[in-house]
Amino acid sequence: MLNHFVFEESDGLVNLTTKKFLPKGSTEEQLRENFFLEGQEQDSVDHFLFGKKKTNFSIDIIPTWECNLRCGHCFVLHELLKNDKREIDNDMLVGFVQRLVAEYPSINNGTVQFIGGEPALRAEKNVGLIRAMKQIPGLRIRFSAASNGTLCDDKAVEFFSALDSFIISLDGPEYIHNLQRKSITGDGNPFKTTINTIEKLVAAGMRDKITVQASLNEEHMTKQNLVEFYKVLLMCGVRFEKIIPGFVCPTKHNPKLDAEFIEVHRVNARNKPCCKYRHMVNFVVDNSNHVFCDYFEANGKNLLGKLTDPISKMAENHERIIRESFSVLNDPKCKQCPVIGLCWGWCANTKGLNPSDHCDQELLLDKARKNAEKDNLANLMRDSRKHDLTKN
Amino acid sequence: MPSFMTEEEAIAVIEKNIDKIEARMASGTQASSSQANANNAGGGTSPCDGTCDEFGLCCNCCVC
Repeated sequence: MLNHFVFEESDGLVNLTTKKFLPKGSTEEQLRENFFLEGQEQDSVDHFLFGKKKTNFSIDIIPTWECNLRCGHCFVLHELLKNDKREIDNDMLVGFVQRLVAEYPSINNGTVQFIGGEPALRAEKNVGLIRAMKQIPGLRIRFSAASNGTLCDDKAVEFFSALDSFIISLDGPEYIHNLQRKSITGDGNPFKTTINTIEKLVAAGMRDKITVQASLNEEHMTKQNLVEFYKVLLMCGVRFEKIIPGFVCPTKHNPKLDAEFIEVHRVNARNKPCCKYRHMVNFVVDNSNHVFCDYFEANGKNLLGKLTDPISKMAENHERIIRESFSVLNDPKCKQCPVIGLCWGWCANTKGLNPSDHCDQELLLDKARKNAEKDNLANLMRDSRKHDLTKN
Repeated sequence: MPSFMTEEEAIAVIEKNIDKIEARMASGTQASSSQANANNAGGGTSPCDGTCDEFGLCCNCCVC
């Protein structure tokens, strides 16, 4: 008897939790080895979450908690510092990546994101780190950053140039942007400063690297405002498809939940857990040279260890944190849900909600069944290339 | 004032793609965290180029 994570297609069976495909006619031994049998639900979840086979890693680097802006909608406003003299030890970080790859030899690529704080405040240091990490053999690493775009001196331009791509935050037309984004000194015109930076970076040949992200509240999310916003950016040289407006998210200081958001998104397939719960794949490294699994709460609760700690010790810590705090593992209804592998709790993870109180399992289940009928589960699991969904 | 594209040219691009802008507004899509943004920018498979079949519905999170 198969377990309830397994869906049948015309030529085989798919375990939606592990993303594993087995052809029809597979032996009981093969089914058991791949956690397809009844009673192996927990094994499926554990294998997917904590398996050793990893092909990539992601590191969010916080070079500083300093920022030259104080924005009302900032996720980490409570973490920002006026002066932050601590520095990431580049050698330690490179050593951490080398030991990670040694522990998980199937890793062959990674992404590194500079966030903060404002990462361009440590531009020179960041460039040094990028150069050092590029020397690690056998790895392809993409480098990106999220910046407020207020710095465009030579060092900042060199930093942006060293990246494969980067996000500049600009929150709509001038009056809206400047309403939300205040300089730490309260003077100047942050909008014009950032526009100047974008123009300079486009002129320096970085047009294709730039994405502009806007966070607008409902009051400001109007067609008129967006048209004005797009117009200014297009005239600067930003590509249309690289302009991404979105609604302001709940934060610690403004934690209002967006019920509409949950309503809209509950039936979309989500094949991987939130980054915090991707065991030994997603990391946050700050300038105290500690490794965390959560950017929003980079504190003792989510500490994996120091950069120099053994990888195996960090793995133990990460598994413990996931088992204790991952909402779907602590919601009895989720543990029995056949489409847990297409959900993983959604935004309930970051919003402190009990997933099953906000889900409509039948809608997602129906979507899975219909895709199975059309032999289309691989497509539903959009990121299947990153998993083990291989039709032998 | 920026000058990569004229105002008229910019408006023409916007009018051609106004359905995508309206879809974005209607979806309730939230702006991502800095972390998620950076991931998307670096991911190379981001749905945020507007061509994904779930454009306007995606949560713009780091999953993609």
